[in-house]
Formats: sequence, C-alpha cells, structure tokens
Amino acid sequence: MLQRAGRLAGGHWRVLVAAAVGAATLLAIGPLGLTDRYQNFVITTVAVFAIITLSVSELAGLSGIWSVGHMAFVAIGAYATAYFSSRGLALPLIALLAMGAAAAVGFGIGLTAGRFEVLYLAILTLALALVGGEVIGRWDSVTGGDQGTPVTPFRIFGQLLRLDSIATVAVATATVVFVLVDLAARGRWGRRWLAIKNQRLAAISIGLNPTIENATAFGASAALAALAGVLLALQIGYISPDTFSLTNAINFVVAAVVGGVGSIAGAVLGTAFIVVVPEAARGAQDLQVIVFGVVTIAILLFLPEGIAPGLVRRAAPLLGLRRRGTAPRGGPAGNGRDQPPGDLELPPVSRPSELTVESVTVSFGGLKALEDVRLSIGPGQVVALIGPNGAGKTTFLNVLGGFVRPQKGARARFGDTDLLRQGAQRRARSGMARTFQHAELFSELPVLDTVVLAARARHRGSAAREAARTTLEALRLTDHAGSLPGALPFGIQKRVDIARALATGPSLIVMDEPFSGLDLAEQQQLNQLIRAFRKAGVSVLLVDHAVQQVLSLADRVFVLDYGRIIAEGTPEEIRRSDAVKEAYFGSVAVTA
Amino acid sequence: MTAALSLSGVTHRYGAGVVALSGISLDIEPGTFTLILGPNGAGKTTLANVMGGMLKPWRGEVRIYGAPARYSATRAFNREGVVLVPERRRLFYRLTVRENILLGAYTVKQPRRELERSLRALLETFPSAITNRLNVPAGSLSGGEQQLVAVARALIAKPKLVILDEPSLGLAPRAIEAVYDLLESARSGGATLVVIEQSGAVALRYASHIAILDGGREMYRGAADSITQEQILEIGYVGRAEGIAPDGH
Repeated sequence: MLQRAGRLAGGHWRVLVAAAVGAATLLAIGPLGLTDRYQNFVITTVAVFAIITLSVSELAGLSGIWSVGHMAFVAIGAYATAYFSSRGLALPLIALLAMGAAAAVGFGIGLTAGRFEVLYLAILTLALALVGGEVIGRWDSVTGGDQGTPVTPFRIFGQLLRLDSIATVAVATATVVFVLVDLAARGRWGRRWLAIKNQRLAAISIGLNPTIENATAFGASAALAALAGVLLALQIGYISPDTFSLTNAINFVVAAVVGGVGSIAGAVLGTAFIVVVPEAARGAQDLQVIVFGVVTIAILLFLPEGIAPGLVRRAAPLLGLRRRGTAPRGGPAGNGRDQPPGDLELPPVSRPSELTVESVTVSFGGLKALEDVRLSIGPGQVVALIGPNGAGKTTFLNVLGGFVRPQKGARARFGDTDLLRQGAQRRARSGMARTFQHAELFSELPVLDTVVLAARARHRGSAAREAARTTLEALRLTDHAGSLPGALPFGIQKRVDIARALATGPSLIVMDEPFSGLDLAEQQQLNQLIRAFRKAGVSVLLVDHAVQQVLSLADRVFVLDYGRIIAEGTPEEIRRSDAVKEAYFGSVAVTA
Repeated sequence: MTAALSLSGVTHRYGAGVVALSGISLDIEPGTFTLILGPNGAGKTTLANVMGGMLKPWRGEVRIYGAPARYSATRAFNREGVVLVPERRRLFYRLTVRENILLGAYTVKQPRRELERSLRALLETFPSAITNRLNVPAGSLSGGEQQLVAVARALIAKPKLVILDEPSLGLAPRAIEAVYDLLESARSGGATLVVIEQSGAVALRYASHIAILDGGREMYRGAADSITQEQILEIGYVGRAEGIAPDGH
C-alpha cells in the first residue's frame, strides 16, 4: 500500500514539476516581462525542439525504436501550416490534420518494426528522411521547392500572433505535451511498450500484440513531431528545406541521448544543450562545431546515461533517496526459503480444457526437427515432455506458442479452439500460459506492473490490479511487488515468471525448464506449487531435465528423441523403458 | 604440499550491504576434485569468480601455488594455469567448434603445430559428436555438446586448476554424465578441479571433496564420501549443521 502511494506521489510529483516549470516560464515571458525578444526566441526554440526530442526519446525509451526520420513528420506539420495558413484554415484544425497525417505515416512504418532489428529500422527511418527531403524539393506547389514558402500570420482572438505570444503558445503546448506524455509513459501504454521492448516473446505470451503496439507508438510519436512542426512554422514564419536537413535530424538523436533516453526532464535538458551550446559558442566562429562536439563527448563520458538520469543518480545519495528496484540494505530481501508457498490454494479453473496435438512435423531446411509428434494433456493433468538436448523440445514449445508453423496435416486443439488458426498472442487469451527457462521478466517493469499487465489478458480496469495482487499474495511475492527483476534473486525471478503466467487465468501452463537454476529447497517449493495447480484444475506441460522432480509429479510422460516420440507412459513405465535409458537417462539411477 | 589454490578469510560484498562471501578459508589440494554445493544466493558464483580471477575480493587473501594472486587481469590467472568455465557456457556461437577450443589457448604462446597436436590429444577423450563437427558453428550444437566444447576450451591450455560454474545447468542426465566423464579423464591427466553445482546428484559420484556454502559462509567441508544426499539437503538447504561432524574445521 505504501509503495503504491509512493509511486502515485512520485508520478504526481513529476507532473507538478513539469507544470510548475511551464507556468513559471509562461509568467516570465508574459506578465512579468523578464525576458527580452532574443531570450523569447531561444525559449521558443527550446520548447518546440523539446517536443521533437521528446518524441524521439520516448519512442526509443519505451519501444526501443530509434528514428532519424522524425524531421519528415516535423516537415509535415510545418508545410501543412504554411499551406493552409494562406487558405484561412483555423490553426487548431491545421494542427489536427497534420498530426493525423503524420500519425498515419508513422503507424505504417511502425507496423514493420517487428521485422527489423534496431539498426535496420533506424536505416529505414533514414530512408524516410531522404524521401521526405526529395518530396519537399519536388512538390513545388505546396512546399515552394528550394525557395521555401511563407507562413501567413494567424490571428488568435482577433489578435495577430506575434513572436512574444508565439512563445506563450509554444511553452504552453510543450507543457501540456510533457504532462500527457509522462502520464502515458507511466500508464498502460508505456507499460505495454516497455514489456514488448524488454521481452518480446514473453510479452506475446501474455497476449500483447507487438506489431500493433509498435505501430501505435510510432504513430503517436510522429504526431507529436508534427505538432512541433506546426509550432516551428509559427515561430520562423518562413519554411525552407534546410530546416529539415539530416544534420538537424541527427541533432535530435544527440539531444535524446545526451539528455537521457526516455527521460522527460532529459528531453528538455538535451534540447537546451543542442540549442544553447552552439548559441553560446557563436562568438568562437569556426570553433563552434568543435566546442559542441567536445562538450557532447565530455557529457557522455561523465554522465553516460544522459544528463537527467546521471544527475539524479549522483544526487540521490545526497538527498537520502534510494533508487526504485535496488536491493534494500542487508542483502536481497528474502531468499526463496523464507516464504514457502507450500500451502498454496488456488481458485478452481473456470473452464478446464484438454490439449490434443497430432501429426506435428517441422523441418528446418532438410533437417526434421519434429516428426509426426503427438501429445495430449487432459484437464488438470501434469504431463512431462523429456528428452536429450537438441531432441526438439524447444521446437515443440514454439509450435504450441505459435512461433513455428508445422507442416500440413498437423492438428492442435485446445478446448474449443483450433490453435493452428490462432496467432501467437491470441493463444494467451484462450487460456494457455507459458513460463520461461530464464524467467524472461520485463527488466524495466516492477513486479506488480508486470503481473497487472498479464492480468489484463483476462480482466479490465481495476479488476486486473486486484487479480494481480491476489496472485502475488498466493505466491508470497507481495514483498517484492515494487522491485525491478534485476534486484531479485533468480529463484524469486522464476516465481515472478510463474505469477505472470498465472495472472492470465490459464487452464494450461506450459513450463520450459522450471526447475533449472533452482536450488533444492526452491525445487521442493515448485513441486508443491505444481501440485496445487493440478488440484485447482490447471493442467501443466512440464519440459525439464530434473528427472526426479519430473517423474514424481507427472501423470504421463512423453519422451522425445531426434524429433520423434520414442516412449509414452506413466513415470513407472518410463523408468523401466530401455529405450529411454539408452537415449536419455544413461546410468543415472532413477528412483522415485 | 602447497595447495593449488588457497583462500583465507575471503570476504566480498556487493554495493553497500549485500554480503556475498563472509570469511571463506579453503585449501584446494593438487589433484583433487572439490564439489561446492549450496542454494541460490549462497555465494557460489561469487566464489567461482574470485577463484577464477574475475573478481577481486573485498578482503582476504588468495594464493595460487603459494604465490599471492594478482587480480590486475584475468590473464594473470590463466598464465598461472587457472581457468574458469563460467555459468551457461558462454561459447562464441558464430565461431566454429575448433576456433572456440583454440581460443582457450590464447594466453599461452605456443607454435601453431604444437597447438594442433595438443588439440588432437585433447579430443581423443571426446565423443564423436564433437570430433566429427569441429568445423560447424558452436551455436548449432546441442546444450550438452556446447558444455563439452566449453570444457575443451578450458582444457586446451593444459591448466593446472579448472573451476567450473554449474556445468550441468540445463543438461539432460546423459549429457551431464558425459561432461563428468570428461572431467574425470582431465583429472587423471593431472588437473585439479573445482566444480560448483546447485545439486550434486551426479557430481558427487566423481568428487573427492565436498564443501557446502550457504549465506556466504562455509557450512561443511569434508571428503565426498563423508556425507549423504540427505545430509547435504539438511545442511545447505534447511540451514542446520548440527548433528553432522564436519571435519577440516
């Protein structure tokens, strides 16, 4: 409860600071008249550019997408303003049009994001920047080509918009944008995007759709850049192609990195850096570029995570603050042994389902990874799939998860659904959850946020939060609710992974090496936990090498070797099988 | 006899308060196979990194064959004949099996021909699954085979002391046996072994000595046959050391 209150207060604190800085700036340039025309110009530039930096920085911070093509969206906003200003359209309408157009283009590019690695996507956005430049050069009737095009001054409330009032509009808009972006980044959108950025596969396993989410993120970011373009048009009054040069585009990436990627304050500081340092070095003439370069390198050397996060990290000990997610003093809180979830009681599953898989064959090139594999799991059954390393177990899990398509003729039914007709992220919603060998937690999300995100596969609104709390309580993880995964011992991380799967309300949990990396005490706890799953009617598919545990738990065992099922039966039958001994157990004594 | 590796009063903490190792004193005699067991968070990997030269302990003394260990570079440990096989294998996945193994001899300057000869000699004890596939990328091998390559990469420089961090992690029972059979032949060739494991069902059959770690402290040390599986459980995982007389204290 305290942690939650702290988090909320923390969030409000940021919004309040952003609003206060915005309001103070507005007072200074407006009623108080503390600034001269030149200073107003610089302030306006920082406010407008900060929106661009923020759009680049948050896209990278939340979605891991680096764009050097955002100047194209700024251009859309700027040229739309110039073009429609002479046709008498109202400014807010122009802004909406420009943002909509940019969002549509951005969404389209974002749809491809999942297909490319970070660097390739960055090159794709570079292509966008180049195409944008070409369009500006050729579409004379709108852009005025190389000559540029003037912006007809607007009237607001009958008053002609002048530079001073443009400063007010820019700062006010930037403030609103910063507050909204901060709320979105800390809200559901931001949580989903971070999850996908951190662990794509695990995010899909709880029902998130990376393609749509990436596209939405890119579209939203593009819309912000276009809004900045509108303000830029108002400020400079004359749009020419140089404004949208590649050098300027890259400067915003520099601003994002120098300020601190994904940091709101960092976007302002980074922007102030790229605006103010060259201005200040103006006296140095030819040395201007060198000064800028040297200062950039110095900042990255001494504050490698960026100005804003770097300063916070250095100031935190002085202010007696502890960063969220770091281990408390006196050791990682709670080894798994302290809180055994042995007496775990789970509510019975609402719709127990049976999984039947038949005739699954998968070939990679000429190599048959799986051949005619069948497997079935009854409601509430624990079924084990064992076999040597490289036997095809992972491929089989990928077929179940929807990441590998089997050849024609394969059948896979889960309850009423035909799994092979469903995309990977839809399977989570049909009641199939998955845990991972290395836990694969979302490294930038606290435990509670992770489990809430998973609970949204089944619950809406505050019910998801409630379901997440119940799950954490049941697995004795409440003490770790506010921790980031990196601060937790591995055994706890794996339990959080199970909580994430459980929160989706599954009737089947597919567990990939759940015992691997656990010590003996933790293995005992997990054994109890899986028994509790069975009691509650949740079926389990267990893929693991911890033979003793697996054989003590499983109702049925399937053995895979060279892509084929070589044995199937009760644990006792499997223990006695010579074929299995030869392929898998070796001379290890297998006792109950 | 001078211990191959000697730790006295080794203490290490991470950050402000997390004590990973607390006053560990341990002598590894030449030619022995010491199995170190303990639960998660016991300090096992920290100990492996201290022994392998990856991590300079906060306090305490480490000696390699009587000479104080230098933590200036891991290379210094390699030159003294100490090699660490880290957790999760860490092969160079895009390089071939042969390239992976030969890189293990990077710090030992020796002529190419001699190196090839030691590679051939080394691989005599390896299963054909490895020797037939020296020119395929290491990443295409199964987990068990990759662990064998990781062991080979450690052995190519003819080390005196090999430290292995959880060599059985993620391996099928038969594959674990293959790894330990290989380690045993390395030991009969004169190498001293320290193996760290989560649970030692298989390893215990091969080990000569055992130590149990918990909470950064040594809970038990003795000959491998001085203790049963049940007692190991009791000491390391329930946190009770009474009732069993630990020797070596």
